[in-house]
Amino acid sequence: MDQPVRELSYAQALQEAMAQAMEADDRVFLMGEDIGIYGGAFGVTGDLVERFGAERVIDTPIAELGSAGVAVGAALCGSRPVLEFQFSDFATLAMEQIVNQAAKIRYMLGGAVSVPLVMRFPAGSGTGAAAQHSQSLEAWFAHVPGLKVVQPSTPEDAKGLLLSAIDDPDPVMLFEHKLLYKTKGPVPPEPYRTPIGKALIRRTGRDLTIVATAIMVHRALEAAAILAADGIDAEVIDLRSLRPLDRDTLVDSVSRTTRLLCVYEGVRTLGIGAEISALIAESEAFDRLDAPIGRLGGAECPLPYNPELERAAVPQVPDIVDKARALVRGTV
Amino acid sequence: MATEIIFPRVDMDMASGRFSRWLVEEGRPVAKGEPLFEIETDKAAMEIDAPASGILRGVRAARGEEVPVGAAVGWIVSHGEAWREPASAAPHPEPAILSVPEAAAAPSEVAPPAAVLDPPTTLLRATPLARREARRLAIDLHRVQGTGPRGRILAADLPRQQDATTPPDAAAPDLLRTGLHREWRGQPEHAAGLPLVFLHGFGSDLSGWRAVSAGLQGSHRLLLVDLPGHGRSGAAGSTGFEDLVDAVQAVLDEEGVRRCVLVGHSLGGAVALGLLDAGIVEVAALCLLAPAGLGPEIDGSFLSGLLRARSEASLAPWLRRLFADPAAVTPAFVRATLRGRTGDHVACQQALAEAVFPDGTQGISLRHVLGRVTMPAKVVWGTRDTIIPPRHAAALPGRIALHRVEAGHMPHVEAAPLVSALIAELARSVPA
Repeated sequence: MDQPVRELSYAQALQEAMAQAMEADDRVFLMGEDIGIYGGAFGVTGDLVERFGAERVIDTPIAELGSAGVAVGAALCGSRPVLEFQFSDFATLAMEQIVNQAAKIRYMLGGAVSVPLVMRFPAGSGTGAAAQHSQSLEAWFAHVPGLKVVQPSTPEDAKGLLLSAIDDPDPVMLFEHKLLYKTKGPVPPEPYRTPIGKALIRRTGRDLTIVATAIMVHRALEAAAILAADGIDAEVIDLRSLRPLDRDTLVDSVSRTTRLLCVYEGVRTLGIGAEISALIAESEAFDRLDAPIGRLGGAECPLPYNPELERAAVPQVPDIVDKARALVRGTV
Repeated sequence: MATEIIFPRVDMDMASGRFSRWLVEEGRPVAKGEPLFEIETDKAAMEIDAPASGILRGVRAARGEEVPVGAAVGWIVSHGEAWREPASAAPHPEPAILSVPEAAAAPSEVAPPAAVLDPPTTLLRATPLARREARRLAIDLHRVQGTGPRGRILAADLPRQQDATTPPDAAAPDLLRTGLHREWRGQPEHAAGLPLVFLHGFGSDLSGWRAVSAGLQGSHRLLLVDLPGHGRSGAAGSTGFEDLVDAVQAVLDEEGVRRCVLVGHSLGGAVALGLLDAGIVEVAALCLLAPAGLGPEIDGSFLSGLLRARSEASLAPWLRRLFADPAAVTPAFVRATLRGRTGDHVACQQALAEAVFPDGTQGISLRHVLGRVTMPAKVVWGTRDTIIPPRHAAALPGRIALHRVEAGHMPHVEAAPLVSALIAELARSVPA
């Protein structure tokens, strides 16, 4: 008999990954603001402090640069820190440690040491948290060699990518979309790894490739169902990893479908869509393109607090449907 | 031989325009297609290209002068040719190329350099995939009409390949035998059915059937033919009406078509009647769209303007005459039409126009063939046709159905779904 599939929320899946990593490896510990008795601003760490103690689930002061420095130092000394930022926007406060230290120390010291640090970032808009608590800054960090940047879109990938990140000898940043924390999905109970640097085709299609990240994967899948009723067969790729990028999956898909639409929540200009577009234009998929490449990204403004404006500032399902139709019907 | 430089009509409602300036000095050489002078209309300033290669002589328009449309503003003479200003300096009421027998020029005339016969170098828009497929299949993209924005050629705009659509009994097309390009459309499962043969009008090509054939190729087998000097057919040889009919009959022989439904537009309609008259192919049903050959009138200035046009600005106004709604003529359509014309084609069409429509008159009469129409037949005419008057459809024999549609001279484009339906109805009315 088949076992009933176990479902967890995205937040629970992350928590399970951290618990399993800590059980398996004493070097793994957690740091962050309000992650102990409070259980984390989004409840991700939950009761882990009760299970593993305050020595391994450490509440930090509101001082991101200092915390990041401690985490980098601990990683250099052989620990496996997992540092939670309360909002990804606060990564700006820790830029020096992330970009100049964590990303570069292994290179600067000729490979003598590495920084096996994991940083977790609640990211994205949709919660009415306004301009300083709603951004999607992942593309900034994907620009820095020495960092790995992943964006799980499902509970299963959240657990698998976090476990891969903890195993990884180099700094890995997990951008977790706030609206996804409560979404549920099947999650295998045992520890498993989702490879960093591998995209996943969530839906196969013939007419165009939609490359999406995080919450946009779900909107793209919803759009694909609407497009299917129109006779447009969209392929949806969950990018999952911004650095390294899964070039082969993208090139292969666009070569088959002949059209590309990139959908991401970060500001459109100079965002991840620009990189994917350029990658395709430079690749052997170039002369398989039968339409201009399309991009849908965040508006060129700080994210508004007003919920209607906030919704309007990031791609929604109808935007994806319209853009995909235009690309396939040759009207752009 | 001197070529007149005509002040062009660049807008439907313009009777005259302001001459801005010459871009070439009198006595200086100019190549055909080079910008020659500038004009101003209410809407825009525009460069006009030289209609021929040679030396600019006899300029008679000056800066700021108001010039009537059709007036000669100067001449281009061949290199080394003596120049004497023509006696008549009166403006032409309508430019009429057919009275200027360029194709009959003396053989001693120095041939223009090959370069001036090249198709105009307009920007070609095509997707990377369309370009790649065109390279692979050796298709000249300049001959393909794009359906994307600004005329962009998409992969789907390329001519369909023979593999899926060739009926099993058809021989591979051999262009060397007739020089005529032809394409089969439709599904192999209809291979046994009665083919529908499409003959386009003067200055057009088989791509003009795109909208109508789209509605028919799911259920029928279509054979589309490019007439001599049109589309992708060669320009050689045949210039008379009989030659046209013979060339198309030869295509039907080569394709094994012994019985068919004939669909012809304008000049192609006359060719369809010619085929019926010749009596070789069995015409099971006949559909004529604004056919030529039923009366003497035809818009001669349209023919001459079309043949004379060398730029988008000079071609667009003539193309607009074809349609009841001038807005149907998009810049992309103008570009594609211009791109599809080589010097060879224009010369061949000129000779054809002189033979079939001398001096702006229909020199062929096929009215007598109507008495031989015993098969189901329809005539479709746009009520707003200004190229061939719809009254030519008056007094048709009673067994021919007349469909008057809201359109100009292009009902198969302007009212494509209706025309598709009418052709399908006709095809259904005859046994396979």
